[in-house]
Amino acid sequence: MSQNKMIKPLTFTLKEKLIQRIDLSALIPNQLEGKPLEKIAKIKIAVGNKKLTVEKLFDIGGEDTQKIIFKKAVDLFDSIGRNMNQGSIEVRGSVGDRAGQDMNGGELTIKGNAGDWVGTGMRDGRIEVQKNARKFLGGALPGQSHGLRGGTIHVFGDTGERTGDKMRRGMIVVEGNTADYTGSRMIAGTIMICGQAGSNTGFGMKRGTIILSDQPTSMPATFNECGSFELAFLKLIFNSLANSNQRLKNLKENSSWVTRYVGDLSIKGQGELLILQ
Amino acid sequence: MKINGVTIDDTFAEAFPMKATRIIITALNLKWAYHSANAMTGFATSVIACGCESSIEKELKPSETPDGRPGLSVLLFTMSKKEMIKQIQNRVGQCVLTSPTSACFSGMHEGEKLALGKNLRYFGDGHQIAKKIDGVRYWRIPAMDGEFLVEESTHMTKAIGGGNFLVLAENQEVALKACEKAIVAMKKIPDVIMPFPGGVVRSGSKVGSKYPTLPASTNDAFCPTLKGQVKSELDSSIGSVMEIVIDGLSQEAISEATRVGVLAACSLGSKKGIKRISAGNYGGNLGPHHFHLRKILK
Repeated sequence: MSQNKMIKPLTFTLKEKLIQRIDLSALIPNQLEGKPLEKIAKIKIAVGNKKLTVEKLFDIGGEDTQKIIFKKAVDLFDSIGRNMNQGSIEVRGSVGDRAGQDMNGGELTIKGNAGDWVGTGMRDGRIEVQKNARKFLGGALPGQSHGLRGGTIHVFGDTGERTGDKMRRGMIVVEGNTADYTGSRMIAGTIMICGQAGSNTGFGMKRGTIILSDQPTSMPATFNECGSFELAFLKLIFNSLANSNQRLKNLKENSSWVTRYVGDLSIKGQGELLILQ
Repeated sequence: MKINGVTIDDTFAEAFPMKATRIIITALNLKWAYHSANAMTGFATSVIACGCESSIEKELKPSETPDGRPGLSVLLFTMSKKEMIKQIQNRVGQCVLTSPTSACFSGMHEGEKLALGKNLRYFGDGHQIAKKIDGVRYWRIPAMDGEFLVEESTHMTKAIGGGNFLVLAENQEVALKACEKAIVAMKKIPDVIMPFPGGVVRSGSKVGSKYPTLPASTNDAFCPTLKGQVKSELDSSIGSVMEIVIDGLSQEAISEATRVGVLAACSLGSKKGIKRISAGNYGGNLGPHHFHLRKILK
């Protein structure tokens, strides 16, 4: 066994029940690289309106700063993986808002639920939410021009409203359902929904692609049907997803025949809703 | 050295540095992939006047292509990067984009990046759509039959052009038969193409001419009808000479293609009229790559 395999992941286990929200953006592989455990223990973390050291909040174990594990995570854990650009973070439990914000590489795995704005401003890397995510997944923060800008977000469960709002590039895969206004104001990129999409899917879409396994609850009246086509690029997307994730391996068998709707024509949009046949 | 009674001359083929790219063309079926690839590799026998040398390298099964459809891989060789950019744009634009059901991908992922669909996308008149999949950008260009899917870039690598050997036979029919056998065997070798019609060239050339404006002229030393008139390389038993030119991505690939090609040509044997195998060179002073027949066949 190589020496590398012997190094245990750096583990942060929550000591006590949190009352206030906590900003964990400082605990990312690129920030911790090369730092001794003693220094990591002294890093100050914002908890509500106070700042507490890591050692006060967490039991620290392991030493591999490129593989970080958070244990006993709760939905007050905000900004986890923010600005991360290498390595991996695994969260055992749920997280709060803005997980993976402005990420530029690496892997963030959330074993529970996620809050709002997962992957907002993300440019590269991969986020996996193994349960549900709330609103604005891959969406833009207030005042920001773009949501997701690159990389992949994969949600095993459902997502809330405005999934992919103002996303600019990248890929969102939702295995479950999405709530209303999926892909609203989308600029480019691809969203794939294996379950049911809510009403007003594609509202204000400029460009980009939303792939749906079924008709959404409703789409704006300003979408026009183009007909049914076999689109070669879908095969590439399906193969890519199937090869990168065992859960999606069945996508390889998917047909590339779709019914294509174009919109949102109210803003001269050239986005597309592709409903699989 | 003799193989099956056929003399292998103690000589070498002289080859030159070139640039190369590999492009994958897919279509609804192999028939339409061939229509597209044949058009793209048409009029691409020699850089002397075609701008590039190009041919189909091999057929690809659906499992070997990016979009899971039947396809062909095409190799394209030029003398310069500038010419490569021009040839790719013109040939893919006029022969692949235009061909029903086609899609076009890079078959090479190392080397210098060059535009494949990057400029062709403007044919979409603003309706083109970019998709980045696994870090690779593709363009979907709306066309009358549906959509033309093309990878944004291909890659260019260093390559070698002008590997060759000559088949010297009693007559045309036997020479052609031996060359056909050689081509069948050589087409199984990856990374090489034989760019002339059917893989065979009857008009091998020498450098220079009595006409000052011509850079090359007929290889008179190997023209059977000039025996007795010029300083000929042919004896009385030889009535026809044909050449197989090989462009390849590596020295090893050209050597292997030469080896299997010569062995296949020699399989007819001297009794059936194959007399000698030789090779074309310019004294070794022009091209840095030398393919010595006897070393390759050892």
